[in-house]
Amino acid sequence: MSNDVVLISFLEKMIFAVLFVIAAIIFLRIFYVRFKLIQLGNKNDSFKFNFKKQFETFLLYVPGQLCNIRNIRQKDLAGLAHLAIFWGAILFAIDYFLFLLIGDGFGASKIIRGTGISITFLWITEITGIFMLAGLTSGVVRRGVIKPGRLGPDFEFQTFFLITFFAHVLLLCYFILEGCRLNLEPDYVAGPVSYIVAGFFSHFCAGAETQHDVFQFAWWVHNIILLGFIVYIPFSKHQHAIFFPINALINLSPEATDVFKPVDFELNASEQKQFGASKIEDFSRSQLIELYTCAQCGRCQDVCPAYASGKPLSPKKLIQDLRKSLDSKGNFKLLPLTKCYNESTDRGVLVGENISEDEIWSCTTCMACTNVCPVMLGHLDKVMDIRRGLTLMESRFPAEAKSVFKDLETFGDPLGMGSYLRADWSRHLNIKEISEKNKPDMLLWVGCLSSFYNRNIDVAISLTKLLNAAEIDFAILGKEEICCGDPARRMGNEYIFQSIAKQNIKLFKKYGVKKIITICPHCYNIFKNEYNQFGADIDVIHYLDLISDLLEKGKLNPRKKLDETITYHDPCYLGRYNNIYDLPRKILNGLSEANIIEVENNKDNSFCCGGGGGLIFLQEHIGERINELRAEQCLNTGAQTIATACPHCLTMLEDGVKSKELEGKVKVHDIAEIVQRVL
Amino acid sequence: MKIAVCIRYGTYLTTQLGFNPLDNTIRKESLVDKINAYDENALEEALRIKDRMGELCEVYVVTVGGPRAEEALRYCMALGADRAFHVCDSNLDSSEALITAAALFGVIKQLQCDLILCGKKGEDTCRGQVGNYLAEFLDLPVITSIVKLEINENGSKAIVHKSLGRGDRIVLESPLPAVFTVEKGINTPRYPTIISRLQALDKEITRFEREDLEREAKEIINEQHLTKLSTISLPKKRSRKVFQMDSNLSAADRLKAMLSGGGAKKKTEDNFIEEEKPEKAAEKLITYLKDNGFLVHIGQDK
Repeated sequence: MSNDVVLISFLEKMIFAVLFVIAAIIFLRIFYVRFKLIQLGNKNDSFKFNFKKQFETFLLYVPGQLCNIRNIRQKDLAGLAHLAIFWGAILFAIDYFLFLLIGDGFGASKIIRGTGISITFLWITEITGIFMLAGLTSGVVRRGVIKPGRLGPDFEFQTFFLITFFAHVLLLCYFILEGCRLNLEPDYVAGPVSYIVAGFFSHFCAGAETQHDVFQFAWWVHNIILLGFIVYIPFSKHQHAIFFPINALINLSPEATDVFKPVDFELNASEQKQFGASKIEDFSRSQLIELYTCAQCGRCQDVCPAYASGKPLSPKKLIQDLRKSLDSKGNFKLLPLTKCYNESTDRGVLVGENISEDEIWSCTTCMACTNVCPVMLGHLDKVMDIRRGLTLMESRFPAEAKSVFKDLETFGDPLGMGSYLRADWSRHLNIKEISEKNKPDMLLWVGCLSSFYNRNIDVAISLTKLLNAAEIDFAILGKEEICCGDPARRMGNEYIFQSIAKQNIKLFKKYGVKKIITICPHCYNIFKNEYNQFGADIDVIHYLDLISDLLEKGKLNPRKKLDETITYHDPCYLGRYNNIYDLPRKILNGLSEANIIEVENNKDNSFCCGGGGGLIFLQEHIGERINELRAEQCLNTGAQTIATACPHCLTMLEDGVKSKELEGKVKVHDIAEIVQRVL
Repeated sequence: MKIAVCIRYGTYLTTQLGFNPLDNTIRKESLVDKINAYDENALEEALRIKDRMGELCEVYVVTVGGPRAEEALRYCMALGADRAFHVCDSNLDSSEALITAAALFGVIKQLQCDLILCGKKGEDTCRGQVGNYLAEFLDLPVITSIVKLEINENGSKAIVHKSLGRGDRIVLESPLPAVFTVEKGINTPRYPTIISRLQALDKEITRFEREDLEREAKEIINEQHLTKLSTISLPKKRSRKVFQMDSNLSAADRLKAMLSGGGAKKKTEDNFIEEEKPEKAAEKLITYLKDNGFLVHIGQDK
């Protein structure tokens, strides 16, 4: 492989070349089959490719390793090791291609290595190689000694150890090879580590013969391991290294608004249309390629409130089960080359043996999983598609959901209370009701919980008092208000949701509603981000926005300051869904003498109260209660008041506090109530 | 086996507060349009028989009422009914039981059914007469308020449990064909899949106009038997006997006194309320309820 000294014979090089070609064929064949498997999904017609945005995403997440760096904020340092391993792999790949394949393979070694750039490159590569070794070793220590739970529950340490061991050996062989060449070939240049190794060899095994033998041995060990990796990568989770960069380039990262796509219910005659996902092929291609980007790191599992409370749902397991379901459709044998699919008779029904109904119905739609995922995988859209399939195609849902759906259809609210009682809470308060003649600046959308549940009615009353004190011109819909549709959509019943949404939009048009202020973040989220799918065009704000504005402008004047300690629980639908973290903190800090005590899991790492995804209307049969876990987390701050800005969270956290028998000692209040208290 | 189910799609009061007894008006927001709940149970029972028998069983739904009732029929077909029949006339929406039964008879006699099911009563009218009149016209046996239905191998006989109220039942055997009216506890109605609701939008409904059935109906109805609604009123407030709580009694004894309606301590055989700490008493109560079959595990009804 050099100009003057023949270290490796021509025959050996040829054998290697043949083996390499075979390994490459296997590698390419597997990826080709996976590519064809992805084609089994639906084409995403509504997908619009935005080159600038995609390229930015690609640069941030792939070379920039943003997801791993971002997690360091959560004291998750594993990403640093990955940074070293990732960059090491890239640099060594370039090294192998330029210097070994082209340089040595075509006898241009001296020319390529001689330049200043090359020497700089070799130095950088070799130093990164040391960091890479450090990263790999730290990985072994972490998995062997610390054993983080998120890698489980079925983490195979032996396989991991074997792979990492061989990776260490590969790198060491590289340095040995370079070191020997420095001693055996004149005018050879390499990086600093190789010089150290060369020095070591010339000191301890002086003879050129010995070094020649060492070189040959190391060459073969190195190459066998390399070929092994080439064949192993497509069969393991390491394929994420190939799929994720591709996905980052061609797929938009899932925004919360993309998770819930509208379904077209137009049906031709006796067409058997599929709504939601009942089989793996019902997903779109963008969803299927994501399945291969999962590196099984388990961060999603760590942050999932359902998993933390003992439910069978693990986002990692779900994604892996879906991937296995997709893989089972593939024919991975080398020949025949054109046969990529496995014609099994198994229909490939998703919810059955591997994925249970309980898993699907445990999800609170909190989006903690998608938020923390280093490869930007969307877990939620897959759970929601499966839910839609279960509800719309098979009517398979928890028994309590049946009455929620029926009540929504018959009475217009998930509680079955009916229109007549809707505005009862406001009867003695002289609140203006919207009508043809009575068009206000903004519509106050009360929401189902704040209209019927006593505790949440208190919040509605507090808010109206605040609005009146600031002389805001607002009105409520009164008896004409029905549900915003969020529980229906989250529980997969897209059909009821669409009829509710269309009815509401017609109502808004009838009264010329231009601006809506909501109490509940679920109503806020769905009006702001999802109603435009049906042609709505309204300005929607959550009341925190208005209150903050009024306090700032002095239209609301707090007369006293609170001297109690407060902690704030970030509702999922305000925080992760809509990035509203600072507003409530600004309001509370302005009202209190003491600062807010932050819960350990706060802001975008907030732990769900357990009320989302329609689960507030269902029963929790398995494991612990999510709301009790969260209440405990909030209580651990020692604060006297737990503040929140969502009726679901308020209900769930109060229940949690009651179950800890701290009712009366620790208060759970909505921000509207707190503001109203100090006026 | 052919089963006919009679369905009523009507406007129902959701809350008593919606009715103003002073001027006999009903607030419109307290009204909802839906299928009579008892009829849903009747249809569910028919569908369960169909689930067991498969292809051999056909379920027909029949309704009498205005054009709005079509929505109900399509819902029923989405649930699994094979054919739907609609006697379409707005005047028949809230007609007298005798007339409704005559209209239903006009349709059902053409169907040659082995079993006819209806709800025990209308949620709004609460009279429960249609089933009886229908059976009379069809000259078939009738049993009302059934909570369990079993049909024998060859479909010639049925064993039914009839509810007598307060948990009491009697078990009756009836030859088929027959008419049974169904009580709520018999089953939990299923929820239609959306795909079947969409497919039901295109299915055919057999329509009958008033004129088709009027002549024959006039022959069987005796005009003198028609009844008329005179008044609706809310329950009168009655003075209640309030017993004096003797503070000398222990908590358990006071509870017993309250339950027995006041007065002296009663000595009963099953003395399960005893002087206990609340947690212990609650545990005992739950064990008692479980042992006597009052507590049922949720989720079994699917």
